[in-house]
Amino acid sequence: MAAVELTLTERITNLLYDYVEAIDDGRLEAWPELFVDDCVYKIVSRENSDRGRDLPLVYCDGIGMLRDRINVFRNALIYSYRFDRHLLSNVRVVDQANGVYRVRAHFSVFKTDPEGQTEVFCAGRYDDRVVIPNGTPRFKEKIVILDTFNVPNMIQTPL
Amino acid sequence: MQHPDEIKWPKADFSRVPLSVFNNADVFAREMERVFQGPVWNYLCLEAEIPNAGDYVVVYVGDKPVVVDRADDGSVHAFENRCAHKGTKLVRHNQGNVKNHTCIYHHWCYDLSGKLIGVPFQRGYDGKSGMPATFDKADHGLTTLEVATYGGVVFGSYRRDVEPLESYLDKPMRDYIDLTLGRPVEVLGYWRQRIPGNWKFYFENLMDSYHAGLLHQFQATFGISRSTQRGGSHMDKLKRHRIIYVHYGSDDTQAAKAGYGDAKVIDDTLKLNDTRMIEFIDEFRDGRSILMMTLFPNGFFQRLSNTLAARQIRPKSADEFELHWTVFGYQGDDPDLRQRRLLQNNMIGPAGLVSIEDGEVGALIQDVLGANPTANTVIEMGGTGPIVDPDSPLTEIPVRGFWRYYCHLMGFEPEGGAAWRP
Repeated sequence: MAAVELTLTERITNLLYDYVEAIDDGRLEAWPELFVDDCVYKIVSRENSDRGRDLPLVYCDGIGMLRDRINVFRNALIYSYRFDRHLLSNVRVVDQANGVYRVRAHFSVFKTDPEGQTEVFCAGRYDDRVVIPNGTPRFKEKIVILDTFNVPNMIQTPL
Repeated sequence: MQHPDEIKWPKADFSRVPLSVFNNADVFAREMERVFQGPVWNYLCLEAEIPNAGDYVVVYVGDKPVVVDRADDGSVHAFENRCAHKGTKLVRHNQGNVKNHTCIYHHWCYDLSGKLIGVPFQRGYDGKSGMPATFDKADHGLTTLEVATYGGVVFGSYRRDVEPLESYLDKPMRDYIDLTLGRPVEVLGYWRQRIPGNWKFYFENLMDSYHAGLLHQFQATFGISRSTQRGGSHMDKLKRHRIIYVHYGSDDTQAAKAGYGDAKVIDDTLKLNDTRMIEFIDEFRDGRSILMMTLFPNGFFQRLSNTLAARQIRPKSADEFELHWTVFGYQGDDPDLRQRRLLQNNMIGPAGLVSIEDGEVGALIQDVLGANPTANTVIEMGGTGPIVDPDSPLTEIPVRGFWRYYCHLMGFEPEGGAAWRP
């Protein structure tokens, strides 16, 4: 199939699609590689962010910490694996300055247990900063703002 | 389902627990009344959460929502979050600041101590209607709890005849609070998680140091807490609360691996790209990378590496509880220490590389209980002798202390033995 010419907005949007597909396909090692080395990834509870409280649920400062989280998850944590399914909507590039694109999107995650039962796990939104080093969009910063701040048991895989 | 009156405790040394107490709705109802509304002090919140007059937070005592606030004279009050008129939820936000509490339904108004101070149209209008002359606002205040504070921690009790808080806590626990909360606290934020398990499994888990160096491979591998480290433990006079501590770097990794034997818990092939998350600094100058305090029936205070948090157990049903975390640092922490705490907090909470495994265990226990479980659990690590302060982290003795006091409150008597009395 011939390559289709994409606009910049479409290429940035595809970064978000690649992101949720890496997680939902279980290709967790591909997840950190969608970030630049000097990046920030945080999951923050809406209860805290609405009140200006700093505390994240997950805080990775630099790509090393993203890779560590996947390594620990794969090799040192005990958990029951569930399949993730992200639904992504309202993806919009809302601002840009000095080559940094601010992207906003809404998401929800369904989890399916080993017996095939699916439940809504959470809802929230992304507040992202995307840069385009070497022509490929990558996350400089990804803040996951979690509406579902009463977490159903635990957060295992990235949101 | 077995009626609570039919439950006999399997052994007088409390080394067995009938699994049926973990998913029995009648047992749960009795716990709400006899444990959480019994002669105990429940952990409510930190004073740092309500520093100013009018500040309030909504917490839970057992399954009951309770408002804790600070009045104009600085005193702290706690009352059930329910209007005395029609039973409507009175306070509708998790926290905030108010002059008084007014119900949305008929605008009955309560002061910050829970007294009814305003009833619209109490005298009617235009000479008609109104409350009867016998209606006295003093009879219709909110359902209040006894409140006491120690070292910036707020406790509440439903019992007017509860023992004084200082005696309830006992010395080791007061010392812990003096050490950990003896300087102004800055609340960094909250976490909440709904764990699909029984609240008593979690209390047991907190009293059980045997699991800590086994289940939590991350902290064993990186030497934050291992079963082979030097540490200690203190309990109160009735053995219902527990403190445990572990000295960082007090074992040798190779000797520890030999000690673990066939249990392949320490994985020295596991390496981190970025070690800031596990870099412990000895800010208290006591060398302890773990210092935890469990307070019967619902409180837990954690110092894990440089993370600090208070946890509140909020039972929802026999099959579920909420774990509520108040994560804090200290006012005046320098930016480096503050950042260190935030990064180390990756180890704890609902996404914590150490703590999520406890939630997993709760689900794994609850998942296979079935409708009428008949088996007992086994609690024998450290022996089944007297319940005393253990001399090793490899122990379940404090777990038996929890069950002994629980059975005393619940009226569960051991088969073939005399009931324990404090």
